[in-house]
Amino acid sequence: MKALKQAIVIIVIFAAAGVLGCGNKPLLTEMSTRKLIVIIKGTYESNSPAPWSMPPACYEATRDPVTKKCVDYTMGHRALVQDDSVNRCNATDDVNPSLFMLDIAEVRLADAQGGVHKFANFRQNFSFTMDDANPFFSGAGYVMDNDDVPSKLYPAVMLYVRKMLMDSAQKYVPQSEGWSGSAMWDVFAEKQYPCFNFNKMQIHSFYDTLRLESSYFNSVFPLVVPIPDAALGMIYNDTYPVTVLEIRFVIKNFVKKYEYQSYMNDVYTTVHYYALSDWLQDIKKDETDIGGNLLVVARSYIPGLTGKISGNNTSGHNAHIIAIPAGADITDYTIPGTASTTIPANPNDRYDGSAIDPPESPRSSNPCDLSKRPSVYLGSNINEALDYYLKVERYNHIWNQLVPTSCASYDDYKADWNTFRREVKSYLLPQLATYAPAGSPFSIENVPAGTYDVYVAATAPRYGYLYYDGEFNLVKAGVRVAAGADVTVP
Amino acid sequence: MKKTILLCAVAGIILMMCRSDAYAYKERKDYFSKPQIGGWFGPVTPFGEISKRVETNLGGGLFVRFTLPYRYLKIGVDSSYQQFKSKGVNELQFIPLYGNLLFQIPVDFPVRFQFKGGAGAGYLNLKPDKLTQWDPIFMAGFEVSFPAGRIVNIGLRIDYIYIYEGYIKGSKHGGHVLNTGIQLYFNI
Repeated sequence: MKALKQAIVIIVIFAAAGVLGCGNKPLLTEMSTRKLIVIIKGTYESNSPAPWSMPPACYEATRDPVTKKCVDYTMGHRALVQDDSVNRCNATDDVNPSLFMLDIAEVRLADAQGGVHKFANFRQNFSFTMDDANPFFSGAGYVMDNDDVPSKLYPAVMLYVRKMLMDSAQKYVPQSEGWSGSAMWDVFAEKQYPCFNFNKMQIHSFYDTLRLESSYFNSVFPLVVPIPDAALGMIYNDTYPVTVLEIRFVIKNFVKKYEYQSYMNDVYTTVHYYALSDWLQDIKKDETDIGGNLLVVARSYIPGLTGKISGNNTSGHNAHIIAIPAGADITDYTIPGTASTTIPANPNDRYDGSAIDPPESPRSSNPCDLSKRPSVYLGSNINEALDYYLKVERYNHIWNQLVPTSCASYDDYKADWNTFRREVKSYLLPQLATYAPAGSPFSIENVPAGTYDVYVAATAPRYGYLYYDGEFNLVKAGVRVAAGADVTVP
Repeated sequence: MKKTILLCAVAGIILMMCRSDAYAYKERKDYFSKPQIGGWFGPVTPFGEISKRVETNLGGGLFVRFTLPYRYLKIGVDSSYQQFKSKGVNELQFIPLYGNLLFQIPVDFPVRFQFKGGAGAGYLNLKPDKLTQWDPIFMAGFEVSFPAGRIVNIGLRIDYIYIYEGYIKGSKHGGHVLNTGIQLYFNI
């Protein structure tokens, strides 16, 4: 009888457990594992990126054998790496950066109902060597630390980037024998390194000069990155064992050199530093903000439910191959304008002193992009005061050149800025892109099931550039990719 | 003479106080067998796998107990609210609800020692996944109680709770939680 009672009690307990367990998930196991994998990459391509092609800075043949100082830059450095806004300091001590450092405070996901989900509020510091072997630049990507989110549709991911740094920044002070350079030091992960945080210079976009956004309010914090998947966002469903969210910053082969001036301890100082190419939003002389050039794209896929698009690069040159949603306008993936006419055939040649023709961009082709009035100087340094008056005169000069000639009226002003804003805002990075040398096979990997138009670039990749209108040729339209399929084009 | 009377009176009062203490002790022993209701609070500590994700916090709960015909055995029902946070994004809310059997060491001490064991269910709310469910739980614990008069008892407790998920497909581990706290409960 006693044994029977015990048996009944045990049965009741397990029956209760069974009732409780209907449809249950292993919550505690879910807590210590994750199904959402966030991968960050520093490439335009989603896989198999083009190798680094940053031209060397110094023309080694004329390097001073005694002082070891660089005497001449290469053509590639002057035409492709050094931005046309660099105009104050002509020192030749700059060397290419070798490290890219990223300090991310947090990543959040925005859902379709407007909710914001904190799922990676861990500060993460990354340091990537700028070479082809580093996963950040090799196409493999770097896995972030994060947790899962509720099963929902997420149209955007928000990156709270504290710092973006590169090494090889130099500060120059004028001395009797010329510019005297020394390394700039900045703080990364609470320690000082010879590097420069260019994120403090970045803004979302340039706006017309009559608007009141200051750099402070326009700063890239957070950086909101849309996830333009077929369902208008990332579908995260915890019934799938893994969902990958890939976030790509265009950094590889997209680094240029900029300049800014300041008075450090009342000494006129010019700083040369490396940041992202101003291909989309041109940076002009004496500007401090380098906004709108942090190009980022995100996409998601479920491993096992993807296919691939393969083919051969028969374009006759090294080329990017991109796949965009079927029917999408290819001009959304390009901008109006043309590349510089002075791109050197051999970037390693000695810079011959010839004028460099800057590339076109929506900003440089805006006739109403008037210069901003310099902020009033209230200090007591005579040099800074005189500098301020010179800047005011230059501002007046530029204004008088444009108004009312090329920028004739306020209506023109509005129309030109609207055109600029439309072109810049409508620019999209392709979610799927790869690179193939001439005559080599290519394969776009991890393609979610769907229908795509496949394009090949009409020109070989150029350092510091992406593509202008008309620089993509259609390979095949309406390429249908199913899960597990390997579709060959054309 | 007056001094002698005064001394006798003081000695008598002291003796009465002593006897009163002795009687009170006997009375408390009886009162401890009455139905009891109370609450506790103290640190709630995850350990094992889940301690890698969430951290110790303060928690608290309520309970009721009834003495069985065998006066050293009680049955009780306990529930509490335990929220485990982390430096990161993880958060686990845990509301256990369980029945338990308490066994008091049958030795007449002014302090009561009780062992307990039980089972029930626990409500779990996992963030940021926003997943919620009930899981079966098992517990074992130990208490030290100090009866303080007819009604009030003050005690210290330590409970181990095991959250069982072994019956769910894909589960790799359960949850281990240690509750320690001070408690105040009343004989009613």
